[in-house]
Amino acid sequence: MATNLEFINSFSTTSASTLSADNVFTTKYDVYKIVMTPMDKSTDSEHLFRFLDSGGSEISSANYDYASLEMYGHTGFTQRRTTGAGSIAYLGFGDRNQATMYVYNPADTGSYSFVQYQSSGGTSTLLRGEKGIGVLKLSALHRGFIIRANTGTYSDLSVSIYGVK
Amino acid sequence: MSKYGYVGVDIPAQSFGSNKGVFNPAEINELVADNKWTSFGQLELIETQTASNVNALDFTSIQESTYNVHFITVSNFSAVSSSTGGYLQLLESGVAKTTGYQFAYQQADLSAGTPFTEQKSTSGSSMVSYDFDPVTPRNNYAYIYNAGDSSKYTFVTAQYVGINNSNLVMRFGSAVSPVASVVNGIRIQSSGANNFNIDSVSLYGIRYS
Repeated sequence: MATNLEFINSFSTTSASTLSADNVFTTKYDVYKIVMTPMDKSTDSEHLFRFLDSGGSEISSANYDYASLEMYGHTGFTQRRTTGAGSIAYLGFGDRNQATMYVYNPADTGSYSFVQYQSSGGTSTLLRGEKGIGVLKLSALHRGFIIRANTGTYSDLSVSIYGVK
Repeated sequence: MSKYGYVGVDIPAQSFGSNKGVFNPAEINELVADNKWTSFGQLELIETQTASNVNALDFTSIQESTYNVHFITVSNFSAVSSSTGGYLQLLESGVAKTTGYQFAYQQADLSAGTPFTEQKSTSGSSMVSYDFDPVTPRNNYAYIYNAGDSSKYTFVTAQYVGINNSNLVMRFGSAVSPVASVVNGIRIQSSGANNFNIDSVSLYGIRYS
């Protein structure tokens, strides 16, 4: 039966600086969709993304490349890009954020894991949007991910994961 | 009398992703109605409309209390005869919000002397705007967050692609209505007196978002 978007699991927190979504990526799908909303936290700072390895541990080694365009309603835009980073930074920037991400090949041990995402957030007065791409340059099984506040604590963070068929 | 094939006590609780037992059609229908039956296809079509020679098109039943995230696709927005642009605006209590948006979009327009420009405002009239153009089509998708949440702003991320003066034009970015309110509808509005056609506009809800 044709089914397009297939719900896998959801996770949430109301008081933590991180949220782990473990055991969500398998070889059942090549492509996953993650919907993250809300992403409300106590400080105006970055929202970071990291993969979890086959044992469920956070991958923080300098193997991420990312590039995003940070777009503001009130001033000129900023390019965010780096190679050999310890995370995919700038999933969003602000005390609030909403994001949708596609993840490619996370469970394929013969491939890097790629992401593309778009988000909208900022503060109560300033809009910040992101459009970005990223890669974890490790050919291995990545069974989940973690969202991390660069500073501060999430007061309301929810993520839903879907397989794309 | 059995329930889910079980008799007596310890009848298992049912939930999406966890259905235990042997089910008859009536029980399946009951669980489907309660969103407890496991079936896939969580991009759920709410409504599809077309537009023929109109100045505005509304979605007024967006089920904002059911879906926290909506997805909308616009296929071939084009002017009927005279040039027009367009807007995607929010409805609050059925009334279109026409001011007070913030938006930030990166534009690539191959017809322009400067192809890559920033489109931004802290006092915009829409969440998404379509270029002013004679009759060539524009196509767009957008995610809309928190429409039904009275305690949160409504955010949008969007991308559109079209033709401007025979050349490719594209925008991607985001917008916000920076007022905590319930949004109960969506409007696609001509930017002026000239009307538009749209081949297809589809509104979806993303279940469990």
